[in-house]
Amino acid sequence: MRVPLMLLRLVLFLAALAASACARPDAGAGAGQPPGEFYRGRTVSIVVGSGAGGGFDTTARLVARHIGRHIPGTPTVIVVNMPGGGGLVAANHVFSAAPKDGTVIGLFHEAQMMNQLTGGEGVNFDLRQFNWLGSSYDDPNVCLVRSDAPVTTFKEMIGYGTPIAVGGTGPGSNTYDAPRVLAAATGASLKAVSGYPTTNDVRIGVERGEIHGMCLGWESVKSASGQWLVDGYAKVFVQNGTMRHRDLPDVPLAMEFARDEESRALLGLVDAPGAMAKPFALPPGVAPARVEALRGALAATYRDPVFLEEAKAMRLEFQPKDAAEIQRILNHVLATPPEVAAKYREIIQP
Amino acid sequence: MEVFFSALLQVLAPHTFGIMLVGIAVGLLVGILPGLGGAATLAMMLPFVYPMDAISAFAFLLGMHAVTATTGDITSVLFGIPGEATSAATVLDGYPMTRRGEGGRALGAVLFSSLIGALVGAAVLAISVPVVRPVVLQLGPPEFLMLTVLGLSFIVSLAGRTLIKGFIMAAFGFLLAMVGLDPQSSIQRFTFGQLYLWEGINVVPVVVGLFGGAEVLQLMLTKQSIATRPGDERLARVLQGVRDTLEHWWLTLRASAIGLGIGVIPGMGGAVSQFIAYAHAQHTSRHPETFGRGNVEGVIATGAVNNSREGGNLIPTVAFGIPGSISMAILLSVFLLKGLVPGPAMLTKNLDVTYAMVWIIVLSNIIAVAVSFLFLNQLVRLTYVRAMLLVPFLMVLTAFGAYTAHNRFADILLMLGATVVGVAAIRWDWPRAPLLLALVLGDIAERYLFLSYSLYEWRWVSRPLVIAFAVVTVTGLVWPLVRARGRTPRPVTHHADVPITIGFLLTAAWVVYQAAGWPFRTAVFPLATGALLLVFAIAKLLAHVGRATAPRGAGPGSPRRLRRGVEDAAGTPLEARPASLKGSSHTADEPTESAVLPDAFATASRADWLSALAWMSAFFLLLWLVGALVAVPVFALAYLLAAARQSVVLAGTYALASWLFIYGLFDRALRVPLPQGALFS
Repeated sequence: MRVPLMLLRLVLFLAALAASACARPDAGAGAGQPPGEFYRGRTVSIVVGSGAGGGFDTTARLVARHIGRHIPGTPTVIVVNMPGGGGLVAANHVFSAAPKDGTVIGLFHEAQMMNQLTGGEGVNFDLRQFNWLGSSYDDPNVCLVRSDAPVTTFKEMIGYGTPIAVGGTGPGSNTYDAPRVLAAATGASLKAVSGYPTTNDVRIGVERGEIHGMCLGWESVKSASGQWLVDGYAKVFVQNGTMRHRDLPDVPLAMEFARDEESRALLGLVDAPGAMAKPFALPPGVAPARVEALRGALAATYRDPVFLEEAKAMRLEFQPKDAAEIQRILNHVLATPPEVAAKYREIIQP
Repeated sequence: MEVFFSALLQVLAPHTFGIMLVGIAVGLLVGILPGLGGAATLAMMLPFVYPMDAISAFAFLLGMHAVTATTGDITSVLFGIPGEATSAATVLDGYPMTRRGEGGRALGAVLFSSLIGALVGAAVLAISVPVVRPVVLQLGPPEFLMLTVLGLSFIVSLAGRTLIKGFIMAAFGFLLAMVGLDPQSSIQRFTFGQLYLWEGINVVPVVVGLFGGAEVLQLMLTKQSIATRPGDERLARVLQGVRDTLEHWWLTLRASAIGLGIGVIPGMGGAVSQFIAYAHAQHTSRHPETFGRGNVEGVIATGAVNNSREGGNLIPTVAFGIPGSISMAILLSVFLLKGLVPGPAMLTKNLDVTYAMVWIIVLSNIIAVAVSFLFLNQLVRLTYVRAMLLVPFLMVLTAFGAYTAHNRFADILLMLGATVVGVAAIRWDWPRAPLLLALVLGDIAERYLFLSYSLYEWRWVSRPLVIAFAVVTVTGLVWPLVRARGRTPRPVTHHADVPITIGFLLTAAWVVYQAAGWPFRTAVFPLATGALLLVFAIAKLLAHVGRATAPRGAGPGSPRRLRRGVEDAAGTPLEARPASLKGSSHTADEPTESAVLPDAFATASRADWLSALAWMSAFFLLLWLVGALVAVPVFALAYLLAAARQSVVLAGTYALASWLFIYGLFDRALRVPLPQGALFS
């Protein structure tokens, strides 16, 4: 009988330990309740469409640490990782399965707009119906190349004999799709190599020299490969977008080399997600008062000096867009003529 | 040199050292608790390092991270449930040792070899950072591919005496690795329209089910304690494990080298190295046939490799700023946070930080192992408790462990599926290790083959290191044949093998049929694997037809049958034969008694089976319906009262404590995502 007794003692000890951590207010959640009352003592989860440690996760955790202070009733904010399908799983979850009471915020990949546009499999949401809170960055897709590559300017690459190899993870990721579209729309001699497990593996592929460069968001370049640019080891040779990014005044826009109107439209699509990078959203159907409360909280977080200082230390430069701007981008992209969307889909097929 | 020791002093400064101790304590806890992976914990703890200086921040996070690998092994050894995917191979021999009453020895071995592995990893980190850059840059996708092939060649030794069954399991594992979006074209393969399967089959739920789930069911059937015979509970057994490690110092070093080597290479993943080290240990052992039945060499190799890998992982992080794993990506963000630039500057301006990291790994591992040794006896005693008391706890361990993969209930379903495979594999002697090895390597093999081809076409074949790896692989395959000199063990067969093989045959035919409609690159791996599986399955069936011998494995209810090929060809139980015939030479690590581990799956009555399966389904059904907060205490109460026939007081307290534990610690304090319950959402 000694062992059951020992277990009992252990169990009692754990019970006492756990009891101290327990205290939850009563749930009484009428939609008409003022947000401050509703959120008091509750837990708000940010559902992130990728695993721990990536760019989305980092942004979510940074925001989660600070946004609670700005939400009326100061709820606890936690991060839940829900990786899968490049944000598809999380987007579907937040759209339909998640509670609609304003306690679940989604942060999933803005590139899902291309998925919706091209009729990708598994899309069970309409991005235009989410209650957007705001996006985090202005993150144009850029391409960089090692300084010792045969050619290092975009102009020279157009029609160049040997293709410049850029590495990527695979279709559906801008590391792969962007160079495919760039090549098709401008005639640049770029060869997209797919199959690297993560963008980190692409980076080391560049260092090994098996590929000349890579295409990805400017924010990721700054935070993970900034040293390459400082050392002159690599340079950004082209950027997407409709106007040059303020950090990159001397880097040409791909748009400047577009072959025709359709090419311009295609390049516009490549750039569109980057304009509203890492957006936060509530599901459709959340009470308007709570949507407004959270929009205000996110905006206040982005202005919070403590938040900004931490962001700076992590080399993250927030350039938020509000709900109206996000809605405008989505309306514009999702109104793309079907033949252009079909062309886009054809180009990104390997 | 001066910097090297001044870094030690910096780590030993009371403030930093104190922070490191806190980190170690958190790491120990997380390693033992299910549901929290090492990476997720690091991400959660990141905010705490904001106010710290660089060295304290690393002392906290690295100290935490370094010990999770150690403690993850403890649940593998004691309960057969791996704490993390990277502790899976520890189950293979650690758990049989525990069941034999040698849990203390196994823990001693795994902890001490972990320590040695960590020290080797740290030492190499210290001396290699200056020279590692050019070496690592020599290894590209073609070399990764050849390393994978080398790893796959170990399937032969992992399969052991059931060679053809091992090949079938490996081919099946390879097919599992093909599930999901093809990395080349993003075309769906074998996803059955399930979004969950797009990302592929996560190794964590598979490992937990294949080993942990099957062991829990076995415990429910035996109604005894985990350890099947009174072992020696004294610390002496632990010291025996330490001695084992020292005796096998050469193996410990080789396993450490494997962990380091694979850790240095970004993109190979953590679970791979442990299986390769395990297979290597079996490959080179003098008693490969005893692996999987409690050979201490298997435990030593898996312990050492885990902790040396951490040092290896840090090398590309520090030297290139390129993380080899998710945990390292999180540590990398600490570099940025503290204004450190990974790369050459870590060897000049910030050399003290680099060396401090080395010291942190060394010190935290020593402390973690020392602390674990203090509690070892208590832990081992748990394995002598009546298993039914542990069942609710272990059930939670498997459920939460699987749930870490994606925080989705499908993880738990996958784990249950793997449990079925695991039970069948134990019952009818199908080796599980080849399946897992193929699952972890299959994806990388395909990826790097096509990547190599995209980059170099077929020229990659002539790269010098590719040729060198090919020579090593072929030598490894041929050498055992030479050594064995025709001593081929008679394979173990069962009647049930025929329907199982037919099942594999049908699967293979279906796979080939499916894959035939895909574009070339998407189809070539599944087609080839499907065809191989087809060939293996036909060969296995032909062998059965050809043999048509007397029945060997009888069904449930037959006289007590002993486990795992314990009878020789003549049908005589091994232990009944004179000792002189058992084998030429016995060494300390040959588990002579392994043969008598009872196989509950073979001996349990139909009523036992029904009851165990009903309880298990009840738990998971309840978990799905009402979530962890309700299901766990209700199940604990009902199971302890009705199945384990405990007193109301004990069952009630157990249930209450489990609720407080889950609610207070997991839900409130640690904020681990738990299954919510379909009825409530």
